[in-house]
Amino acid sequence: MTKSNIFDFLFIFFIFLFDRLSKVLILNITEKSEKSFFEITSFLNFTLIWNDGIAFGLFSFNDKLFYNLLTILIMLIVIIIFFVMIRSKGYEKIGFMMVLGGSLGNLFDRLIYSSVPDFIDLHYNDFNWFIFNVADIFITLGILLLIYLELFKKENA
Amino acid sequence: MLKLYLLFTVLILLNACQAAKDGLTGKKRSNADEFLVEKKNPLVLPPNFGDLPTPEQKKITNEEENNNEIQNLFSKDIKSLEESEISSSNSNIEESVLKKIKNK
Repeated sequence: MTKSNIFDFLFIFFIFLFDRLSKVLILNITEKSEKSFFEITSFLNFTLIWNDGIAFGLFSFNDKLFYNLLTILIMLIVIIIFFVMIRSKGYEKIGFMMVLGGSLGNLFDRLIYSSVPDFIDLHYNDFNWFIFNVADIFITLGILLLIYLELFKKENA
Repeated sequence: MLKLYLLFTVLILLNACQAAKDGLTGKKRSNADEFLVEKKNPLVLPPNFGDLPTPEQKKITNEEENNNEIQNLFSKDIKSLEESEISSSNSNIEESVLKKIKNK
C-alpha cells in the first residue's frame, strides 16, 4: 500500500467519522432533551427526522423487501465507486472519495438503524430546503465536482 | 453526457435528504412513545350477562311510587287550597252585599 493510498483511505475515513460524530451528537442531544427541533440561527435549525428512502424522501415505503433491495443497490454502487476511485487521479479522485466517504456514512445508518437520520434544516423565512446530513453535503459536493470536471474536461478536449 | 446522467443518478440514490415538510409536520420525527401505548380491547358483555337479576327494576318502581305519592299530596293540597279560596271568596261577596244593603 503506497503513501497516497493511505492518505486516500484516511480522507474517506475522516469524512465517515465526521458524519458519524455529527449524527451521534444530534441523536444524544435529542435523546437527552426529548426534543427533535432546535433553532440554531435565523436560517438554520436542527430538526431530526429519519429517512428510509433515497434523496428527497423518494422511495420511502414501509415495504421491508423494497428497503433491502434498495440497500443492496446502494451497496453495489458504493463498491463500483470504490473501484472507479482507485483508478481515477487528481481532482476526480478527490470527488469520488468525497462521494464514497459520504455514502459509507449513510450506508452505515441504513444497516444499523434501518434509516438515515437527517437534521440540518436550512431555511429562509418560511421557505425550507430539504433536511439533510453531513454525509449528504460531501456526496453532493463530490458529485458537483465530478460534473464540473466532466463539463470542463470536454470543453478543453 | 451519459456520465452526467450516471452521476446525477448516483447523487439521487446515495443522498438521503428529506422534505422539510415531513419533519415539520411530525410525519418522520423520532417518537418512540407512540409504540408504548397499549390498544384497548373492544367493549363486550360479560358471559351469562342475561342470567343476572335486574336489581334496578325494583328501585325504579319504588321511585315511581314515591313520585305518585308526592303528586297526590300536591294535588290534594291544591284542591283544598282552591276550595278554601272559593269559600273565602263567597263569604267576602256575601259580606260586601250585606254591607251595601245595610248602607242603603
